[in-house]
Amino acid sequence: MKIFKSFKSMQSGFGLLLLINLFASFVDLSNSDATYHLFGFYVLVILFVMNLGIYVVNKFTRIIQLLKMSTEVRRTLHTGLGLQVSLFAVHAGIALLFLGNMLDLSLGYNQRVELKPGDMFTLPASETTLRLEDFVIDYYQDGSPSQYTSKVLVTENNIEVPYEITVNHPLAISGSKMYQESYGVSLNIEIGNDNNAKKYLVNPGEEVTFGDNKIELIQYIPNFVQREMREKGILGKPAVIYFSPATNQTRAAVQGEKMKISDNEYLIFTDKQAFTVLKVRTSPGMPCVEAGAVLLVIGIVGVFLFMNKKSIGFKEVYKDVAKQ
Amino acid sequence: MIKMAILAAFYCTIITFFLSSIFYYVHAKNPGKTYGKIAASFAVTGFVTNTMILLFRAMLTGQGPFSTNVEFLTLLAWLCVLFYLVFEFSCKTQSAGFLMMFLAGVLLLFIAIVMPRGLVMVTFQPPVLKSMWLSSHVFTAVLAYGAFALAAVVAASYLFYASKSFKGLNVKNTVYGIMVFGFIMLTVTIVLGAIWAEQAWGRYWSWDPKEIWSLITWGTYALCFHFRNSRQWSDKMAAAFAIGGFIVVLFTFFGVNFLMRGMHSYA
Repeated sequence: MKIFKSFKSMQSGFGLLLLINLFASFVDLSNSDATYHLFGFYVLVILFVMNLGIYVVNKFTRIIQLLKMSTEVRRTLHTGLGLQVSLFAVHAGIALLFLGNMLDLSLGYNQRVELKPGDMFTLPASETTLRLEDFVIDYYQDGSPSQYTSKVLVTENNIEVPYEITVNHPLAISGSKMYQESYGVSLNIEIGNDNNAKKYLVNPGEEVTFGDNKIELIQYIPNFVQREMREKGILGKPAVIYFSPATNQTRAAVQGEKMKISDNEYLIFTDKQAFTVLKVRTSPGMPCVEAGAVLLVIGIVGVFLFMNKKSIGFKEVYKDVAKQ
Repeated sequence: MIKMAILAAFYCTIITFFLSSIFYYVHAKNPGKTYGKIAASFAVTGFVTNTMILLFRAMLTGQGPFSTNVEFLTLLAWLCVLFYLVFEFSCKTQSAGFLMMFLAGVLLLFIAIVMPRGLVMVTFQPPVLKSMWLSSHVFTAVLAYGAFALAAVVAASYLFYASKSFKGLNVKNTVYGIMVFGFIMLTVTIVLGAIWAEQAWGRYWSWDPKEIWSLITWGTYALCFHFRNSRQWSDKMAAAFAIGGFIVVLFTFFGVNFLMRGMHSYA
């Protein structure tokens, strides 16, 4: 009984919240695959929700008791009732937020999908398909991306509807939501000599081995330009930064330019192929989270609204009831 | 031209904030109307030049001051001073002026030392920041931080050097009221941020360092409100919570932004 009493206390609740935060600080929970799957963290969250749950049930019972009282007594208590209902809403809201998060992570579907133009994807638990028609990257003057747009064709019940998915504008369809998460670029390069050249499709960060040599493709730069040229306002060209272990040199190959990589071999960065990275997820806990957020905000405003108003508290009510 | 105007207004603001702080301190030690009036005049002048920094910066970038650390700190300093002037006017006390103007000056001095080029540099917004939620999320955060700063400054002034000057003021209720406003704003900030994160990242809560420390800040102030109903609640306890809470707020901004990497690393 003593253990239960100390478990349901406010101190335990705050202690658990602190432990959850400390746990999240030291363990990488930003990785969606790891979050909550770590047993210790999962246990802490469940204990915290239980702590709040006990408070919420107690508060709810008291509010019901109050509402069952005679109308005359209840009328004088409206402010006290407001505070109690607000406190109930705050704690229930927090519990719902954590519960919803747990539901999402344990039952929700969450996957990163890489699509090239023409690729198809079937949404989870449905017949709905999605085909990437085109993927467009808009750039600022300095070469940094300003927006990514995935133009998709959604086929649902044999009806085809075109949509655009951009950052901050996800597409919700057939119970799933698709987010424009990021993008990637595959590079078409040609390595060889004048008589014999071979074509490769490589992602930045990968190595290409040809004969006894190899080349490491470090990074793709959409708008490569020398610093002094950039300061003059000259726009750059797409380029790939590569490292050649044979010559121990790191250089930039601008699209279309022939770069000598050994005595008789060259490298040409011919073209690039952008692909989109979408996040597809279902969120079974979302109704809980939405209800929790609304309860939390309304509850907090209510608590501070009713807190300072002079009202008859519950202790006085019970005294009155006891007298009756 | 506009860059020169920003820099001129910026250094003018730092100087006036520190001058105001000095005069508020002298006024606290030698109560009289003259020093208090000079201090308040410097504070108002600094507030005006701080407003000019924000306006010029908005003209330079073509958007509100919500994207970078420099803009956030400039807006925070401006709001701290605004909150303080409202406090001074409504509570009829200048006792917290020294610390508040000093804090506002330090916030701007931090920019001058750590990221001076950020004032006149125009950086393009990454796609994720192009959202209607940016301004509301950041502005409510600045409102919360500004309120917590005022609560901490009033508390620290009361605890450390000007307790006699607060005789006419119910410190625990004043500090509590300011913290309540900050707490509501912080809650709204977190909720707005979660809504935005759901749209942009596909997750309303990612246990990112900024989110973790925002929750710790929120928990610290929530703990304070729970203690308010206890018997131990006093002026000193309210002041201690206000100062402790603000130290957590400072870490949530400076510690997380400059020492940790996470999904909030845009500036």
